Amino acid sequence: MLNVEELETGYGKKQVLFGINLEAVEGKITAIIGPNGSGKSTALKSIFGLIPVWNGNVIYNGEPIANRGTRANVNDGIGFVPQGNRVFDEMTVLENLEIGGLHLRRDRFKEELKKMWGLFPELEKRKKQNAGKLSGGEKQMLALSRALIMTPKMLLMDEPSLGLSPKLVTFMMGHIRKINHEFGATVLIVEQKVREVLDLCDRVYSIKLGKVAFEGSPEELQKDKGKLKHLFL
Amino acid sequence: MSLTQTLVNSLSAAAVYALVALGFALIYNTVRFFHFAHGIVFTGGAYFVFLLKVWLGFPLFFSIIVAIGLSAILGCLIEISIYRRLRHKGASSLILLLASLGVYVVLQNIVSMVFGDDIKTIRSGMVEEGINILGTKVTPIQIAIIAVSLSLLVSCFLFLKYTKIGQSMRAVANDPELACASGIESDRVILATFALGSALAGIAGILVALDVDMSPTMGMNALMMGVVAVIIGGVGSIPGVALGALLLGMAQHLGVWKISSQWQDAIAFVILLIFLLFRPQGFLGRKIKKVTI
Ligand SMILES: Nc1ncnc2c1ncn2[C@@H]1O[C@H](COP(=O)(O)OP(=O)(O)O)[C@@H](O)[C@H]1O
Ligand SMILES: [Mg+2]
Repeated sequence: MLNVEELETGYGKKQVLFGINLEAVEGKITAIIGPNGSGKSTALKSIFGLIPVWNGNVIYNGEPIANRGTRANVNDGIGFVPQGNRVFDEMTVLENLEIGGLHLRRDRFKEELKKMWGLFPELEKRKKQNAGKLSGGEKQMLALSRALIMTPKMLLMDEPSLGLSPKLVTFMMGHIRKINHEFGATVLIVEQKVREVLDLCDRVYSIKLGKVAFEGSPEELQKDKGKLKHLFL
Repeated sequence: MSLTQTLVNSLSAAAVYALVALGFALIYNTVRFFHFAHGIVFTGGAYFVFLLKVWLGFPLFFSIIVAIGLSAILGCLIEISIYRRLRHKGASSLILLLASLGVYVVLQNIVSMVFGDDIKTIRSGMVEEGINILGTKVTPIQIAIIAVSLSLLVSCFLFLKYTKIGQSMRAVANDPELACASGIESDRVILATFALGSALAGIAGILVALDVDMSPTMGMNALMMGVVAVIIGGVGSIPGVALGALLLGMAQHLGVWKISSQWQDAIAFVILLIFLLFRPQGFLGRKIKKVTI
């Protein structure tokens, strides 16, 4: 579904990724783990087109999509949930979802909105409230719904569990599984909560210093704790 | 001068400040730098009417409508030809601010060269008879200024709240990166903001010209008052901008009620300094934060 080949990018003159290769298989959950500052967020941002790709290819459903702009990606069924519970904090919950579904027709939007309220009933209760007033968990639910409202075929998520209580982490992971199963979305997720994400994913990549340091099944890492530790050194 | 007369004068001044301030604030919120060339768009509105009506002989109403459109186009041209290029090169807010000052100076000189430095008028043939309200003489243009400004403030408020493009403007103002992550093309939204903000500036310039004539430097003063109103009111809220403009207009006119009107600008800047020192976020303002994805 999504193939990344020899991806290189960075900020200004500073190169961060040095030839990343990875694949997100249709219908599966693919995880990216790795230490802080290794370039996981940078990888997602450049795949999605928030920052330019310097070299290499991003292939989505057989088509090259590198540097084509986020609007085309969103309309083509790719959703992106950035790191840090990001919501439009000066807009209401409902307005956040309206922004997410800006390119939808009104009737379609209303249908999708109902699905979101069904998925996260807390949000519906607070739909008129400013998103800045939500708790961390609710913000993350909103951030996820904002992307989900377009019913993406491919969902890119950057540390959806960041700053959440253990209970909420479990809740979010459960919902990501649900989104994968029931909504049929292919998921590419960056996560620091390794134990939880290894339980969730079908395939895992580890990025270290801007390169892929490991690629394989989650079971492999779950069995070999030494290898897992090594990836974070 | 009677108190009611002073109040009417301050209201009509506030109405103009509010229009300039609103356009300025809309643009500031999406691009995050002081677009000083906004002042020349204000001037442009007035001179476009002069060009169309006096030089080319079109009827006043037609000239005004076309001039508003030309003001919007002028703002968009500045954005496309200068700011957008600088932005794409990663220019800082300071560079953009300097560029906007440069644009202002160049365009003001062009206005001087083409039209001359003397005061021009588009008022010939207009009804100047004041209307008596509560013993105070109010000119039709003063009423028009207040009515136009109020209705534009309300329309803009509704536009930002309920239309897709208005919501996109607020989204880009709130969090440009997240807006981009949601598939909003910020360049298009910024362009729309320049069109709207510049139309507002053009309208303000035309209203002032209809009230007190025009000169090539008229925009700088209007811009300064607009900026002061934005800082008093707090950037990022239309009611705040309106309140800031109202307070500024009142303070200026009541402040000079019994003294020479030369002190009006001094009063404005004293208020500005007080706010910068003690409440830099303004009345209804928000703290400006910086985050990255
Ligand atoms: N906006 C930015 N500008 C400059 N450098 C950045 C920016 N964002 C991240 N970096 C740098 O890029 C590297 C990778 O960061 P990031 O992709 O955020 O890491 P991770 O998500 O794996 O923690 C880090 O060295 C970081 O300092
Ligand atoms: Mg990160």
